[in-house]
Amino acid sequence: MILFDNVTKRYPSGAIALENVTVKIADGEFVFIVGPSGAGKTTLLRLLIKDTLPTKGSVYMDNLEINKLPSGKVPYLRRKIGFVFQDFKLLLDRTVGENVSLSLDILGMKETEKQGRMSQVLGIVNLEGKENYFPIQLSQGEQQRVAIGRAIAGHTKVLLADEPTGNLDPKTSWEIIKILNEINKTGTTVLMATHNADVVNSMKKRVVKLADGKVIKDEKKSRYE
Amino acid sequence: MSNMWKRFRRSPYQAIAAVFMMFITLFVIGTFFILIAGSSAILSYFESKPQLTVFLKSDKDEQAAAGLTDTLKASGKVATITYVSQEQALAIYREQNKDDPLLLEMVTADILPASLDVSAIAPVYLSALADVARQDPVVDEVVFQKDVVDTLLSWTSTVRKVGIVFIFFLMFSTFLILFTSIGMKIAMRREEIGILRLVGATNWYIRKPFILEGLMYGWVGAFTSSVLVSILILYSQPYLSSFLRGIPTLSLVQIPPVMITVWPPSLTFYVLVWLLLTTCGLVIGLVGSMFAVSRYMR
Repeated sequence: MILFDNVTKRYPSGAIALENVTVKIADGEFVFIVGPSGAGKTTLLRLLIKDTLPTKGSVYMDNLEINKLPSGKVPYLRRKIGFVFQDFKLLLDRTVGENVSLSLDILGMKETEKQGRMSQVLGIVNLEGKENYFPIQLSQGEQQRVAIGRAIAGHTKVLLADEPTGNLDPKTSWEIIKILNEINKTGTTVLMATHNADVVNSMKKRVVKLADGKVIKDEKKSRYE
Repeated sequence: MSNMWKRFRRSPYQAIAAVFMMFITLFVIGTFFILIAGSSAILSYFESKPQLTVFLKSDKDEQAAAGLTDTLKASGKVATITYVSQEQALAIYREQNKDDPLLLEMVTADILPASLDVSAIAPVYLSALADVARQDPVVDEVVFQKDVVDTLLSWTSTVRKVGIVFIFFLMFSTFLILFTSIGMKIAMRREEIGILRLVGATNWYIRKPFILEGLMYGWVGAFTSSVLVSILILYSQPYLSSFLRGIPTLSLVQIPPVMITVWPPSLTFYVLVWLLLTTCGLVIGLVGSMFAVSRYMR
């Protein structure tokens, strides 16, 4: 369970990213966070991994108050939460396999165990047989799939996706959405910030709409508008 | 470990510079350590030796010397006093010059005077003892070894000062080179570090490779410089043995069971040098990389 409890985030410049936001997300939900640029979507996601702190209010995951988590415990929180970005953030000098196993290395997994989990993950993101490719040899869609693979490899409970289709054409975007949906079906909570109205409209999932840092809509089986 | 090797292969130049600097520093530390250890050992050898040699007129015999011995002992300032007869002096002379037949031929027992080797309880009593000896009619000449000790003392302290200054500067430059080279690597891999943080790597997991790298530089530098210093000791042994003729052993520490013999170089001495250099190398490596990590990884 994720809870944003009356969260306000004001940046030092004075800009207000979020204002009195309260959103509760149950385990295994698929939620779209929509709204124009600068509405506070990215801030909302960053609060969950304690990449930034709320000015007011609290953020909880499974009764753990994230904003009060000591910095030594943050890495262990992040092992439960996968993050996917618009610009993929892959290591270009590492192969697909090495990128994916980054999160497995951190867990201290044994080599054989790692190999097993890696081929499982590459299966989920449809990249079988590509583990020795370098990111530059892949298409944009494939690169984003590598990033998703890396995000879920460590059996994460929550997957945060910040405009994962922002750089992709409609067809490739759909491949990504399908994969996220499959991952959601296995019980992983998915929070996806997006501008992509087509995707949101056809998926008919819960939509949280932000404008100027405020929640202006929060509906189940909703649409972009 | 395999990652470290991979990274070394990809950018070996900084690593080579760091290791080379480490090697030079540790080599200089090793060399000065040997010089200081050796000169301290020579100093303590001379300090424990008879510091006053009283040469007797050649027609005086042992009985005349016994009178002087008693007078000197009565002063209460004498630690040891040994009578060396003309025959003993010749034996010592022969032993010291056994390789040179020409020198041996020229000398007979008559030429060499009998003497008393006197060592004082403390160096300050030496001149008082010399005055007492000079007043005795059997005495021909009094020779101080104090002069030898004084020269040696000033020499040793100069070596020590120069060494400390030199080593300090070298250690500091090694630290800087290590700091910047590891710092640059951290800066170059900033993106990777950011990603590692996002996927939940602990601070230690991120820092470990850089700290290991610093320790590795230290260890490699220590190993190579130890080897070179050992070779240097072995190589200079023949020269030193003619220089130190007449001195059987020199010890740095002589508190049983701890015995570190500097001359002839003992295994313990080699181990000591190796331990010293390894410790210095690892400490510089650790401090340099820790500083780089805490400065560049905020």
